[in-house]
Amino acid sequence: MIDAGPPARPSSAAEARTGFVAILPILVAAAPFGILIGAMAAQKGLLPWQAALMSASVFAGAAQFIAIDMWTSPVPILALALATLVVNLRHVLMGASLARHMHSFGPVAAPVALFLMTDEGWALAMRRGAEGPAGGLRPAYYFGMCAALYITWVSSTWVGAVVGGAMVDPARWGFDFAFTAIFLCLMSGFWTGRRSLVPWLASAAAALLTHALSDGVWHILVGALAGAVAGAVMPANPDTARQGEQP
Amino acid sequence: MTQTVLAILAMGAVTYATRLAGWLLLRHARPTGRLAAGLDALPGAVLVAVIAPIIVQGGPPEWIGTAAVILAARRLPTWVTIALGVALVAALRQVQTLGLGWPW
Repeated sequence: MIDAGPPARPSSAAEARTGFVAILPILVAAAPFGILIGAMAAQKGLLPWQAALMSASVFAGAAQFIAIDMWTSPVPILALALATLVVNLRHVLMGASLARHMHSFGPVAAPVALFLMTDEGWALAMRRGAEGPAGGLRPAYYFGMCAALYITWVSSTWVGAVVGGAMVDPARWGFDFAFTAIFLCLMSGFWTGRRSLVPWLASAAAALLTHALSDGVWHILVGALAGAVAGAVMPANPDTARQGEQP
Repeated sequence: MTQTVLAILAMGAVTYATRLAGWLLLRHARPTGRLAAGLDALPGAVLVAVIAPIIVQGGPPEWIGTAAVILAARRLPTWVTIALGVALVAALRQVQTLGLGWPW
């Protein structure tokens, strides 16, 4: 190509494939975690279809992990809903930040896309929106990765609930560490140099303090807010100060 | 049975509400200045807030695994990094189980 002008816009199928390839490593690590959650659910008396229904309707690993941990009989519906709300309040902030990259999503695609928004899918979508090719974040890319994660998540929880009791301790094989490792890898994608340390350390300090002082899961929301506030109040980087003004 | 399904659906409804809310608030806005800077800092901050207590509460296997994953994350493909981290933590836990103790 010589002086061909801007590169051709990739087809939707190609975008969906790129999204799928981007999430592939996360699928490999999410599947054992889904199996673990399914097995935990079975040990609490949930049937395989109920474990799969939870993954299909909630689709949020951290919330499900905590909810199943506090599952008792009779089922504490209000307490479960409240804990889920607190763990997932970070979604409000995530949806607000993703909105900037969702202008090419239609009135049907946007609510469906948000239903499929997880930490992992959102992190990749934010990166795509910030540094992707001319089109930024496109629906095909987003659904290519999020649908793959959704199918993996629902099916792996179901498998976990079916094999449930037969499973040996997953911690022995380090599978529980896959969750931490995924998040660390996602974080490395947001590393933009030493300035990243300021909101990260603010978030870690606030989360650890909250975790030490309170039961439950408020630390996620408090840490996320502390990091965002730190990012907002720190002096602007002269090199990138203008980025915020771009549409 | 019904209670279980009700609880699951309540969790799902609450979760979807959190997913829609932020977008409904900001979909027509184009944040600039401090708000944009705060939103830019958010992705890393969310991820840190979720895993910081998990890492701190873990033992030496998790701490060493975390250090290894941080070092590998920007040099190796993601799936290799995760596999290495999981294998390393599993191996270190085996060492711990053997009761050999740590050299410190």
